[in-house]
Amino acid sequence: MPKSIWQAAAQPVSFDALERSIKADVAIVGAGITGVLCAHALVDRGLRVAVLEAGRVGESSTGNSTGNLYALVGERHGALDRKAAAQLCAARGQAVDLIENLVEGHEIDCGFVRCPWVMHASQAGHPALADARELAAAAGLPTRRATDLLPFPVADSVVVDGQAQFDPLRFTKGLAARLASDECRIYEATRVTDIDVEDRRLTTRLGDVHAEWIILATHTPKGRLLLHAELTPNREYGVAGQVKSGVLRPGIFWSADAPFHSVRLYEWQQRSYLVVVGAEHRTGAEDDTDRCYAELAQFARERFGVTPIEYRWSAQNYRSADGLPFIGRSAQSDHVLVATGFAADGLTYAGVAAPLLADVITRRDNALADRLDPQRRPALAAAKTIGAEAAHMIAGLAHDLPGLDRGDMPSLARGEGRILDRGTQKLAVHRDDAGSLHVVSAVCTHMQCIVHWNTAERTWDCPCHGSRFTPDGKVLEGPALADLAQRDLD
Amino acid sequence: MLTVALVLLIAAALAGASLLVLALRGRHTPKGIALLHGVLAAAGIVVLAATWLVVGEAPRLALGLFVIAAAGGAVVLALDLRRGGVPRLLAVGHGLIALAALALLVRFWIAR
Repeated sequence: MPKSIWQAAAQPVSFDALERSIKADVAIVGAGITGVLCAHALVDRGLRVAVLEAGRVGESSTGNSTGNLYALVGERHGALDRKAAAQLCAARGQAVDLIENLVEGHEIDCGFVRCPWVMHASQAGHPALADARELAAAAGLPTRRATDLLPFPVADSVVVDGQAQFDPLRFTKGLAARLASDECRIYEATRVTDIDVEDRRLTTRLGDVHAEWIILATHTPKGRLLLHAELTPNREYGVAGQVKSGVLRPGIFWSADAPFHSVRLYEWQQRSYLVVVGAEHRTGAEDDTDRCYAELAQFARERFGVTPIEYRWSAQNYRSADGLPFIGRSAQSDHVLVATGFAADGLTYAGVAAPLLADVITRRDNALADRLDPQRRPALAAAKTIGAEAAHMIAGLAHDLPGLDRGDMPSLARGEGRILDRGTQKLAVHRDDAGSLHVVSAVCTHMQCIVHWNTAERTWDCPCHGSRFTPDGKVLEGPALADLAQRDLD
Repeated sequence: MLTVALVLLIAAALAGASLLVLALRGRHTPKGIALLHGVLAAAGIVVLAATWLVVGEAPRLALGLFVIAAAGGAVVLALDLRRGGVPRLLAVGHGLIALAALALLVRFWIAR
């Protein structure tokens, strides 16, 4: 099964599960980098925090990311006005500084290193490079040009020095281990199954958490929110393999040419590894997800001589309709805060979200609060994306029509999954490597769209809002709170 | 045109009846059928309204009831998606109003 290089390199850190009801000033759902940085910011301001993680600290989205930190944004930078660009990039630059200070202050061994951010193109005059230069100029970030940073011909590039990269999982686990105390209680294997916004109560299997404030640091908020109509869920893939020393210098290398690839180096156990990320597609919209890994492996082999691929992984990202993240009060309640829509720039946005959400809770002014307000009115330019999301939702619901999925069981190979009709019900059927069948309802528990089999990850993915489930129907990620219902074939 | 509207609305009623049976049994209601039901009903109402406006001969009470039923149907679907289950009382009310409208339309069609 897929495993990221960060998961392979992580030091074991574990926390107990919640086994009784507790109270806290702030309950944080999700112990990825956003949740843990929020916990740090809040404890720093004297608040008692409880962090609830369904799996292991940092091992979901954070542990499947790229580990790059940069002030610029990869999303729709052309659509940002100069003031917004400057404000956002300044905040992101401060977020990188915050992480660096934490690494140094807490002596977290996570390979943090300052390095250049590079966008390169095979032909001069690429519009993405012009956009990047314009954004950097608006943000007051000096740029330079270099064409000798990669082991293949590059015609043009934009280089922004002073950015950073690290091992995101070792950082998150390291910070969590140092934070854990009576003021910051961290629980693993503690899935939140219900959120009562009126009573400010989170339900878990063995106990409830009552808190004055709730932060949903779950990448996309849990539950049914209108906000989901403005978020597009995507999956992106990563591979890593050993590369000859000196082939690549430390840096964040983005290709402006299609298909997009993000490349970096990672030094671990006296070996150099090349990390390649890309092959993004909308969640639940790719029939052959193995193809995504194959494409990245081919790129790593042809351009860098990397063979074999030792690690492969994927992660989800959520792109907002206007390209800006949503950080602040949820429309559900003034006391429920969200941090989502980070696109593929999430690790740095986590460092933007933590101080902003702490400011909301401690009622301090924050210059970014209005711009990133989750309840902001969508810009006219976002209407197309919102319309496309609505169309996806309708298509996802329309698939729930008896007669569309008339497959038979004998043809289902080991490792495969398929949607089958049984009367008016849709079943999601997977045959595991041992030949056993796993049968669950194919109706997503979030908004009732029909899930889609992900071959490479062996998961059921919902194309509407990105909820993902194990072959047995257990929630992996996304807005769904409940597991897929168990079903029988008979 | 009136016959086209009648056929569309009868087809919508059949789809709606199957949904109501599933909902009352506590079963999942396939959203593909729900969307089909909604599209057929909307098309039927539009044709009926066009008949009234163009030809000037259509049961206005039936049309009014269909519009009320359609609004109720939209609420049923929205609540189902938001809460994860069909509100049965509302679904029955929606069905009864639509059935009354259909009966008026059939009577009008026969009496033409």
